[in-house]
Amino acid sequence: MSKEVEKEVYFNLLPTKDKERVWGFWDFLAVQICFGIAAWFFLVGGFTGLVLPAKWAIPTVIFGNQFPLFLMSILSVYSARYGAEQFYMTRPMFGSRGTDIWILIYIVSSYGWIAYASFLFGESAYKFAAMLKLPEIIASEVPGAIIWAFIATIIGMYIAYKGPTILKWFMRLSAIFLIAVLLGFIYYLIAVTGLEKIFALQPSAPYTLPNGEPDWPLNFAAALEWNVGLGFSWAFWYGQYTRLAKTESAAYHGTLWGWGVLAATAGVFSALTALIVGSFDPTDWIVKLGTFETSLIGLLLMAIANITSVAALVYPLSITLRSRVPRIKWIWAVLIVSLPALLIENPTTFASYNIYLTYIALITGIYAGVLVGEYILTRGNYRIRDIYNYKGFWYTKGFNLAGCIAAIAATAFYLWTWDPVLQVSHNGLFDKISAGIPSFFVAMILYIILSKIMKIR
Amino acid sequence: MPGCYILLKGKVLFGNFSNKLRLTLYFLKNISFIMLNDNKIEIPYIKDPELLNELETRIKEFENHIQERVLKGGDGYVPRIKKRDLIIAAVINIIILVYYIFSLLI
Repeated sequence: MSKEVEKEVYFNLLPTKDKERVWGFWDFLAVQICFGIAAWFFLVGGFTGLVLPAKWAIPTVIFGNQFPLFLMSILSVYSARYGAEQFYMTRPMFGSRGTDIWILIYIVSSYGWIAYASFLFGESAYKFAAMLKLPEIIASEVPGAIIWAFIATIIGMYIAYKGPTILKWFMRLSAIFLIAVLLGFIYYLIAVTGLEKIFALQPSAPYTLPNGEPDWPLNFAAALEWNVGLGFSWAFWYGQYTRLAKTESAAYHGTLWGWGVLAATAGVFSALTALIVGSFDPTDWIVKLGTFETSLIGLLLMAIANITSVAALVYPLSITLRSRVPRIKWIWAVLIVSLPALLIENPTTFASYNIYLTYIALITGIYAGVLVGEYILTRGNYRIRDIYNYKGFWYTKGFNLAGCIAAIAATAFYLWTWDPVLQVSHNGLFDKISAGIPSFFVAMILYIILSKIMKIR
Repeated sequence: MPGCYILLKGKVLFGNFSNKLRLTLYFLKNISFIMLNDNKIEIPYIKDPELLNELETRIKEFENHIQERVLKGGDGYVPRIKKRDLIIAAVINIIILVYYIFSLLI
């Protein structure tokens, strides 16, 4: 392991002092936009554009991503106040052992993010290869896109393995590319197709009623749920960044707007492309742009953006794992957090991004609900020694029963309201209230009540 | 905390009544001091003594200069979030909510 990485792990285990804080509001905004604008936003927008027309898809993408961030935005304060990493600040709500389970959930659920970013690279790369008339094996979706996705994961792993300096360099490069991609594409959308025409288009694959008419309440709820899933998904990622904030306000606003309405513009863009080409994959639209040069540049930029996203995911995941289990070698930490993602890099998983997002809405929504409930009770005021001491928030054999019961009950409520696998609502409420945001409130309210009843707070 | 138990079990439980009272009062008055000084950082998965020392130093520094202020609702390492931050966020998000509801209705 390089000295740089050793230093980062070391740094991750210690509270960050005020003099070590480097990020103000604008720094936050820039970094969160770069981290935010990637496969996850392009794809969620694409799926939204498959079921809703532009006049509804745009507000759904913006509201669906922004509002969950607002509901849980106070999470940014915990790590900024104590300089502690995300999962140290989870101990008061779930107990030390309960938090270990959340670390496991965080790592396992992130395989999906790595897989989607890699496969979007695969999708763009095989189309690029086809343009160049390269051999079928790398110029077809199966196995071409899979091979390219594997390559993306391995390159992302390698960048993460090399440590923070090379990663920062790639992030900066990626930021320029992402801005160029978005600006160029938006220009094309407006200039070539025209907004009036886009707004007149109907979605190509909405959920339908038995008579074949679109089931609009279900389409609204489903599209909202996918976007809410992405909005809540940031719940696991606050601490890694906000512990470097110069003020709590910078941490609060930087994450709220950077991951929210600003990064969501990528989702708006792909929702519009999905309406035009009838595919959730924005690379299909790029290919259909027409000229070889523009397609080539667009696909190349998409590829670089997604590889950087993989690296930007693998690195903090490896740092978290290495911080929790220091005896693991750096190379093993990188492999553990990323290699299993290869198993789900295929067209079937890629087309199931909406289902993945509903699971993410479930997991992160209830996690955020409990953390917000705790803030309402305590205003985030703790003894720092208790946060760092493994037995500091020990409760019942390492588990805060209030947090655990609230999380389990909210999970049950979510699955009762929306079953992501069967795509049905057992209580019939999904098309009226959706599931992610109500489950967030169930977790929050239950946690507050249980903490009072059990006299934990 | 182990120190508290020794104090209670060794002296309070086996001493005479005035000793019990005196030591109980002493314990109650100094509970935070006892907690802070007895409760050494223990993280089973970290063995590096240099890292644990640095952690202990930082935590003591926080306890000596910041802890009291935080518990009273003041700043932590950095300035605390203000009410106006929450109000700004609430206002903008309510506008977005209204925009969303309005767009669905038309």
